[in-house]
Amino acid sequence: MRTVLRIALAVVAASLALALELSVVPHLRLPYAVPDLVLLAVLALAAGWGTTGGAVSGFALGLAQDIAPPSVSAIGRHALVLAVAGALAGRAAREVRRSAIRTSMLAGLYAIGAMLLNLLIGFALGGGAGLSRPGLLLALGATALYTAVATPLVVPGLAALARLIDGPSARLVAPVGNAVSGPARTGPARTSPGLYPEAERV
Amino acid sequence: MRDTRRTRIVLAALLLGGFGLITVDAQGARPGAPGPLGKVRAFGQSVFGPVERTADGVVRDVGSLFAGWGHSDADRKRISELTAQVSSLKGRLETTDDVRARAAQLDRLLKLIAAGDLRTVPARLVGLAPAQDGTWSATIDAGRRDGVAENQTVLDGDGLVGRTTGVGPDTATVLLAVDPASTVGVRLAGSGTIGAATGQDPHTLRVEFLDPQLHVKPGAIVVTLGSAGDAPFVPGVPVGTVREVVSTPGALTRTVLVTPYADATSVDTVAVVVQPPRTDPRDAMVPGGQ
Repeated sequence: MRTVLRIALAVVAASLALALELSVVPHLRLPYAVPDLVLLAVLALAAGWGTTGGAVSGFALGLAQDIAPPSVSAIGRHALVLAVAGALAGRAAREVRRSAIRTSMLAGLYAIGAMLLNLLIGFALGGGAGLSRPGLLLALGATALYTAVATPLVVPGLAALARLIDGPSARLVAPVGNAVSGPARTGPARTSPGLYPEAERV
Repeated sequence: MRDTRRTRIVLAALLLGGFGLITVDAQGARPGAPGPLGKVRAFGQSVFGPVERTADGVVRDVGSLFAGWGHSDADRKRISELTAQVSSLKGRLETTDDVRARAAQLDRLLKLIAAGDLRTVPARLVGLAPAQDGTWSATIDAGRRDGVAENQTVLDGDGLVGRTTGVGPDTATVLLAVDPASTVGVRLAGSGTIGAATGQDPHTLRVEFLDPQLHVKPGAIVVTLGSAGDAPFVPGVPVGTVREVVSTPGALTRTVLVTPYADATSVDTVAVVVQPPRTDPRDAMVPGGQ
C-alpha cells in the first residue's frame, strides 16, 4: 500500500514538475536558465523518504525527464544525475532541520552540482556544452538563484506530503524488527528528526 | 548499518542502470535516428506531450490577462523596431506617392512566398528544454495527426529554426539548429560555396566552408544547402549572417561564426515544412530579396 502511494505521489510530482519546468516557466522568459523544479521535487521526496527512497525517486523522475518530449540527449542522463542528487539529499535532509534559508541555499548548491554533472556527461558523450563560456557561468549562477528562490514553494509542501503518505500507516503496519520493511521504515524517521522527535529517542 | 548497506547496493544498481541506459541509447548518436530506445521515447512523447500542451494552453490563457509581463530584451528590441517601422510606414502612407511603391513591395513579397514554394504546417512552441542543460530543443503542438513526420525542416518568420526529431500523435520534438548535436548543410547566398553549420551556443553557429581560400565578409548571408531528398533540410531557407571570420591558419576549411536569424530563446510560432519545394528556390527567400 505504501509503495503504491509512493509511486502515485512520484508520478504526480514528476508530471507537475515537468509541465511547470518545460512549458510554464519558459513563458516567464527568465534569462540564462530556468529553476530546476524536477531537482527540487527529488530533494523534497528524498527529504521525506530517506537516502534509498531519494535515490530511487531521483532515478525515476530523471527517467521521466529523459523521455519527455523536448529531451534529445541520451536516455539515462538526467536519471543518473538525479539519482545521485536524491541519494545525497537523503543524507543531507537530517541536517537541514527545517531551516528555510539553509534549505534554499542547499538546493541552490545541489542545482549547481546537478548542472555540472549533467554537462560532464554531455561532454563524455562527445557533444559540446551548447553554451558559451560566459554563458555557462551565467547559467550556473542563474540556475542556483532561481532554484533557491523556488525552493520554499516546492520543497516543504511536497516533503510534508511525502512523509504524510507513509508516516502513521507505516508505523502501524510494519512491526519493529521486520526483516523486509524494517530498514526502510527507519529511513524517513531518522532523516526527519525535526518532525518526529520521539523517533530519535526510541 | 543494514540501511546504509542496502542504500549503497540500491545506489550502485541505479548508477549502473543509468550508465547502461546512456550507453545503449548513445548508439543512435544522431538525434532523430532510430535508436534502440525509440519505443521508450515514443511512449514519453505520447504521455508527456499532451501534459505539456495542456500546461502551455493554461499559461497562454492566463498569460493573455497579463500580456506584456516579463518581456525579454529580444522582445523589447523587437517592439521598438516594429514601432519605428510602423511610424515610418505611416509616414509613407501619408505621402500618397508611395502607394505605388508599396504595391510593388507587396508584389515582391508574394513572389518571394511563391518562390519558396513550401507547403507548411503552422505550430506553436509548448515546451522548451532547460537552457542550463546546454541542449537546445523544443516541443511543438503539431504531430503526426497534422502531417508532421521525423526529419522535416522547421522555420519561423526570420529563418531556419531546426528540424523535427521525434513525432508523437499531437506533439513533436524540434532539435534547434543551435544545438551542438545539430549539423546543417549551408551555402553562402549568391555563391556556390558550401559548408556545414554546427550549433555552438544559443546565438552562434559555427560554419566550416569547404574552401580554405574563401574570402567572406561579416554580414554575408548563409542559407541552407538542402539535403539529399530534401530531408531533413529543404534548400534556400535563410540561416543567418556571418558575424566573425575565425582565423585558422593552415586549416583545410574556412571557419566563420554565424548569428542565426531565428533567436532560439524567443522562438514562438513556427512552420514545419511538410512538402519540399519542387525546385531549389536559390536565394529567393533571402531577406532583402537578392
